[in-house]
Amino acid sequence: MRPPLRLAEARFAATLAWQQTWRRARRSLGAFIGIAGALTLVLVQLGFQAALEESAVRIHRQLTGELVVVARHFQGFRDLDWFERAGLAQAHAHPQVAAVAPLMLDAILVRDRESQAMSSIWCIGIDPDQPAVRFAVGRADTQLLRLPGRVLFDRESRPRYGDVLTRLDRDGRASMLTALASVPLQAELEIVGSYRLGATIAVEGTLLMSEATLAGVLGRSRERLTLAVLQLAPGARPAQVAAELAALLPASLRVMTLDEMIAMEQHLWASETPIGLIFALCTGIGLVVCGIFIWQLLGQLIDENLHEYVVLRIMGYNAAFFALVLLLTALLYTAAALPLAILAAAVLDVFSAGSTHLDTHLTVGRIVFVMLAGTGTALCTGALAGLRLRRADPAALL
Amino acid sequence: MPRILNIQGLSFGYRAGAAPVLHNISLQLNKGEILILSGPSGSGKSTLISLIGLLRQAPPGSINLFGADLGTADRATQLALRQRLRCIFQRHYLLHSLTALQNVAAGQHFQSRPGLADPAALLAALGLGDKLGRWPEELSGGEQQRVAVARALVSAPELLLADEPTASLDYENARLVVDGIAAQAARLGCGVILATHDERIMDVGTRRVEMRDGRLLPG
Repeated sequence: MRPPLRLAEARFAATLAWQQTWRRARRSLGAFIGIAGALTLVLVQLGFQAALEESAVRIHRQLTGELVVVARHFQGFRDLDWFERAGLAQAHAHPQVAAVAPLMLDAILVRDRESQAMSSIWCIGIDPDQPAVRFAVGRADTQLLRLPGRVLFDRESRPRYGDVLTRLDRDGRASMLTALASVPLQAELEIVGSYRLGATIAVEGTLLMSEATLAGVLGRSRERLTLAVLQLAPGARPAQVAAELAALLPASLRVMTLDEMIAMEQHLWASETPIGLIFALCTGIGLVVCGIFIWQLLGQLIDENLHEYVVLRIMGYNAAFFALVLLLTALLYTAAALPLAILAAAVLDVFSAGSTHLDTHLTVGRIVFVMLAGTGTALCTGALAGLRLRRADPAALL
Repeated sequence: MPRILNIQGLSFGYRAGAAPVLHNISLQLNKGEILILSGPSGSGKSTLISLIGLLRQAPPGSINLFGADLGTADRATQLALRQRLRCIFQRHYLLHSLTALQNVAAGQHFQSRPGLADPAALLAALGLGDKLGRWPEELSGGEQQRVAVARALVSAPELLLADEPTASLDYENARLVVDGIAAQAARLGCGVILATHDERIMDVGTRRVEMRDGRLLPG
């Protein structure tokens, strides 16, 4: 029985696909740029999505332990819940827990002293002796936070806070005024140093301060924490300790591993906000546009060579041969467009990272995904174009 | 000489119930024979060629090709029969992205049987030995048609169907094309049906039949 395609036929299909691609390269320039543009769109969309999802856990990744304790109904950093510090007593007592670092988080409004402009900023309240965030560990200026009203400013914050950094660099200090309608007296926050963290999907910038300062600013009890970070003893298994603590801690608390909390946060942003859907749609639209350009290109190719292809068909070349020619042609155009798309996406990523303060950069995984998705699009389009060729009637054409 | 083709009482219309365009055609072709099918445009030559070449579905019991009834042949049989015949048309239909040599070689990539001709040698025999690497647009009309002839003959077919292959050529090129067909067909021993109304090339045939209004003229 004859195989669907002999080796000589497959080789001929490859030669035909290759030669008809480069021989008509100039005529296909428009469609080629279209394919590259669509793939660029997909790469950039995926880059933005990954950067936004990663930014959502920027603070999480800085936590100094393996486990976290949160309020029972904690829903991520978007809707902060709190619990009483006293509930952590059992965690302190667990033999596998080496240290417990409290963390208080909240967003406040601040007013720039010079411009009087109001901006929202996130405050990270820590215990300066037991910092819950890695970027505060071992720094001399962390100890300055013991003094009330002293804060450190995130140098990677989006540029919404006036010339705070200029003043800080010039004078060694700068200040901000809180602007909270709920408290009678606004506090002055004296910026005595800086650190680098970066903006997130929801946060324009951050201030690091002691939990006492933050509690004072918010007018709330120091005993109400957002979360506690548990550092485990060497060799302890986080999942096992988490299970043991779950049985010991009050029912109002929940313990989870840091990885679980990161996954939960990313899942929340992807599934419970429009972000996941919007980016999935944009990626899908990019691939559809890519497919339309390939379709247009293959359509032109078939129109130009229909009689010649039909002659090959009546000579004995079968549908598998033409499918292979069209698939290889589609793949060649996609493969040729991909480097251009990668280059364009890399340039756009650098540009957007500068203007959004998000960590948009190309990754091998994303390039591989776009290669596979582009290949899939090319295969589907090639198969559809093959059907069109199959319907051609030799008797009517020749 | 072994018989390749036997047509008996063939009548054909393009649609069921439509007026027939071929009327009671009976025709035979033996191996090595060159049959000139002459007649004016619209006389039914191309329709007859398309039926023999399996481009259209023939009525059952009317056309027997290589011992098979084209009207009842299943798909596999039709594919097998197509491997044994080749068609040449008024236009060359060469792929512009392939060189002359690659276009000719395209005629045999799917074949694995012995006895296939060497594409370069065949092109040389047709006077194109120095143009193997040329693209079709770099060849004259006559040269393009000779490449098409080589592509048709490179798989050593047992039947060659040529439908007005010289219609758009000047005398010199027409002569080169039909002489090339005759010489190579004689070498391969293949039967040829050459449909034409070009009086300049009638002498190439071993036999001639004439068609008018879908009928073969007697004699």
